[in-house]
Amino acid sequence: MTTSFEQLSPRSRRRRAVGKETGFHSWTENADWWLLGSVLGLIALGFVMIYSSSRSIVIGDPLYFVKRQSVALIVSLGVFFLIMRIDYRRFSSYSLVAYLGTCIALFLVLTPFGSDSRGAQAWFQLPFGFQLQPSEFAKVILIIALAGFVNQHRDEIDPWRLTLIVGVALIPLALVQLQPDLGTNMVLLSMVIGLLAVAGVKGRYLLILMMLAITGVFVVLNLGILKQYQLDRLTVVLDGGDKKEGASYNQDQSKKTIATGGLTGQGLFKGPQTRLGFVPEQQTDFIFTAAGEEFGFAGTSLILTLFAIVMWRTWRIANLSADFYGTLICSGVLAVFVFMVFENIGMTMGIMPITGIPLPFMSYGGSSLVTCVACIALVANVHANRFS
Amino acid sequence: MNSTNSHSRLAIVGVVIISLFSVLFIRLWFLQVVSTDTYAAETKANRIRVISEPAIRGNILDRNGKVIVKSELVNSVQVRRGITDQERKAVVPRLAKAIGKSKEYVDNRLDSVKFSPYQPVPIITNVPYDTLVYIKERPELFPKVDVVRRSVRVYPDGSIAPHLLGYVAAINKEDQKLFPDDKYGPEENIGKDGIERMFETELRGKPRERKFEVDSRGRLIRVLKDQPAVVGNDVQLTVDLDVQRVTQESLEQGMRAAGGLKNTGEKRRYENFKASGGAAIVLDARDGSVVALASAPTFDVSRFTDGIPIEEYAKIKDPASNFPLLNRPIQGQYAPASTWKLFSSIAALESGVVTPEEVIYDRGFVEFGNPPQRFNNAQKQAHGAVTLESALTVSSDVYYYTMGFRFWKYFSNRNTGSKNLAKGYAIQGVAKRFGFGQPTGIGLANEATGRIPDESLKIKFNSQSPDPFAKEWLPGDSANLAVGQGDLLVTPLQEAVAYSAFANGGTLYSPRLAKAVLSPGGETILRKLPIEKRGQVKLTTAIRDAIMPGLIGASLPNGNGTASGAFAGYQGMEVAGKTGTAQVNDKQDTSVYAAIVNPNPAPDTDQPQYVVVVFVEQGGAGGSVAAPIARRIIESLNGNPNPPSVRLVYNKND
Repeated sequence: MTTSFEQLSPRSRRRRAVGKETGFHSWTENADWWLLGSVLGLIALGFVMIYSSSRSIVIGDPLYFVKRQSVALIVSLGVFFLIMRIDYRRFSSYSLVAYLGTCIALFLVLTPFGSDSRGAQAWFQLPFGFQLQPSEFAKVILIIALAGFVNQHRDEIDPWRLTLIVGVALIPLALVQLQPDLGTNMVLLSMVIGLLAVAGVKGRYLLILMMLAITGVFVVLNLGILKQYQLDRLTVVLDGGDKKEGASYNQDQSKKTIATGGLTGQGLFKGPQTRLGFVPEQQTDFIFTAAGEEFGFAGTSLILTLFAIVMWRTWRIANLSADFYGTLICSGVLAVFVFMVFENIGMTMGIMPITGIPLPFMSYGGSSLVTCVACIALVANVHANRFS
Repeated sequence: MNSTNSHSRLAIVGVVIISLFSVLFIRLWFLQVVSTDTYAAETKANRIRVISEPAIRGNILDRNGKVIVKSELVNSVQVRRGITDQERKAVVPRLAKAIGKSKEYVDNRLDSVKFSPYQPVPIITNVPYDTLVYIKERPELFPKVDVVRRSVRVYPDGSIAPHLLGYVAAINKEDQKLFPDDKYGPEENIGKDGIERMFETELRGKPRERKFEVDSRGRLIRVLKDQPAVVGNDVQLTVDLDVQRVTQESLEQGMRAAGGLKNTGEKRRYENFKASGGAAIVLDARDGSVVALASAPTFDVSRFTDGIPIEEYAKIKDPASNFPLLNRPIQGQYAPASTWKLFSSIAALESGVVTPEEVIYDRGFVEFGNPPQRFNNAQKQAHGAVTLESALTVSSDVYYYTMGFRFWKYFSNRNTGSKNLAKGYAIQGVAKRFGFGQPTGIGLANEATGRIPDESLKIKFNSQSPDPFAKEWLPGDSANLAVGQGDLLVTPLQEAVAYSAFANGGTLYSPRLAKAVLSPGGETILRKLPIEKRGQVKLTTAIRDAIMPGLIGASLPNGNGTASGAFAGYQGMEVAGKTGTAQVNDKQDTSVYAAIVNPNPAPDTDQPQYVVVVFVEQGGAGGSVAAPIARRIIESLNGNPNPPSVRLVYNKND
């Protein structure tokens, strides 16, 4: 189903008219440069902060993490252009294959094919010491699959279909939970709920779903699936960090580090907390603290603003999309990013529990970068094809 | 469902996003702008470590620049805390042999709870160079044993003036509170008392302070600051080391001799004197400088430096040891007895109660009141017709009792004239003017104030007593006050300060212990310490001239004064000194002597003038014990660094 010409705003009508006159257009000619520019800005800032926070970890090679992230960036760009070459509507026919593939990958990572690191069985070892984290890719593939499924049944989402959709989502969620990776699951859950909300599922169903999701999180917390340190990290915000020294240390140092930046920061590469390694996992999940310390409120505001632009443009494209499928894809991406950004930055500032969720575009980690860029590519794809 | 629905849903999603971002912005603002200062201080403490090493402590010099206390670097053997049981088993016998001590000694040191559990245990300080080399060259025989150089306090003249100098020892919490601005290490030495405490900041110097930046694992990243140590400044005292030594010796000699003397007083006739404690002071009357200050019994100050063993401290604290830690010149409070007659005389002459010429007939006793109460001279000796001068020389109590009764009459008529109370309390007034009843301000800790009695004090003291006379100022109270007895208490230092004020014509000084702060090594004067005048006491030349001859007579060699026997054959500067024998409840008499050396210096010359005050608890008569001690001290003031030993005088009883 397509939006009729009469329903569009005058500006969109004009654009569409231009498209009609000139026929085929390369996506670059009227790309959303606000969106792409902000993403590039975030990636660039991410590189600077990765360098700053990781340069003394590997003795003799301060660029170790930067180099590895560059490889991920090149792969990301490849993925981006690949996605841009294909009209996103063609993805819907591959939904099932992609979905099954993801489930298999998530299953295999739990077998001896996968490997354990930092307490979770979540990685495939690749040559040259690179690793692949299938739960990251699950995010983008589940967006495509669920958007396709919901799109097919958009006018007939009754409780039965809703249960089916949720059931489809639950399989990869359960596999991810076996790793265990509660953080990724929370991202996936928020994506499902965001998607269904925009799909027009009745408010009371959404409410029930959210209650179920929250119950699910609590069950996971109390069922003993998580390791103790993961539990500690999650609950440290609630307890005020009295007993759990190791876990509260992370958040405590993280908060202090951001606060030390003040209004204008300690200067690039000059933040003592960052330089001396007081924040654990700083180049990955706590990358925001490095920016906080070295650039201060000025820098962190810039980062938040760039993220806000990404959200705004994605939201706008969801509105502009030529079809409902595009709207759903953008909504899923939007839900993923909003949750990740709020959770990640919130945890560094001590208002959210610590879960292993990276900051999109900025955190060190190839799988995460590729996934986030792929998500943006989907949005850009919807944007490029908004007239056809 | 239609697209309008999904657009409205997207609008809701937009609102949710805006709210979430607002939360993030607000939190950022709070952390980075509102509370950045609090957190910045915490992160600084995260990464900065400060290590301070004490500087070499400054020396303490005498008034002529002789060293009384100095610091020396010594080789000290210490054992690290990480020593294993196995290593210890092997090391202890070897180490004991190497340093010439028993195995038990080494074990006791290692097990002692006295030493910090985080620092190496000092086994022995000051090992010879050979031992140092022996241990250092054999690390395989002496695992975890180090020989380090430490700065320790050294007393070249032994334990001289410990009460005055104080000592140094590891700092405790109370000490730290007194020096809130200075940072001390956990085991750093600090001046605990006396000069060491008064001049702590000068003597300590500045410790070497190293500031490191460390990373999250405590590894050293870089040295931020390495401020070298600054050796402490020297402090030059007003004390003359030679006079101090003679003073201390004389006091101890006199007390020892008194212990061999029979108490011929009325009670306990066949008991020797206990001479349980004593104080001796030499003040420079011209400026209040302390030339010597001795307290007996004394203690070995060097025992405190490394922490005194418990049994030794218990012995010091045992009452049978007569409280050697008590600094009797400033903490001992005694009745001054007849030495007080100087101040009674000033009060009487000022208020016209007596004139210098008046003759009072001394029959050995005097009666007063209704029914008459009898007051006796010591041993009921009758002195015949006495004037003020001869009353001072022979110490006629009858003369002063009579004076006291006259003061009491003014007191009892206090409601008939406004000046009568002032006259009735004239002695108390003079006492206050001369600084009694208040600390002298010498600057040493826990100085006693003494006590000047009057009716209100008596009422306060006896508030629980059923006896109505106990709450009334009686003739006997005035009489006792006139002869320096009753409830009157003074410290030896107060007495010395007051005698100095009388000697120099009325200037009351705060006793001064130190002259100057010198640069390390004593090369240049950094700061002169001021002479502190507390005030000018009203004292007319006429009154001073009326009293002084009586004091001179009392100590005149080969005269008929109470101290004449003590000064038999004395040659040197003239001495004006008064003896005193104080009766104390349930104790033997206190022997007191207070003297002015060179009472009348030639005008416009630089002639010295000293005051010497000696108190001996349970020592007997002032003329027989305290005066001979003072005489030997005065010999040293005349330039004889080794006068003959104290020879007591046996016959004089006042």
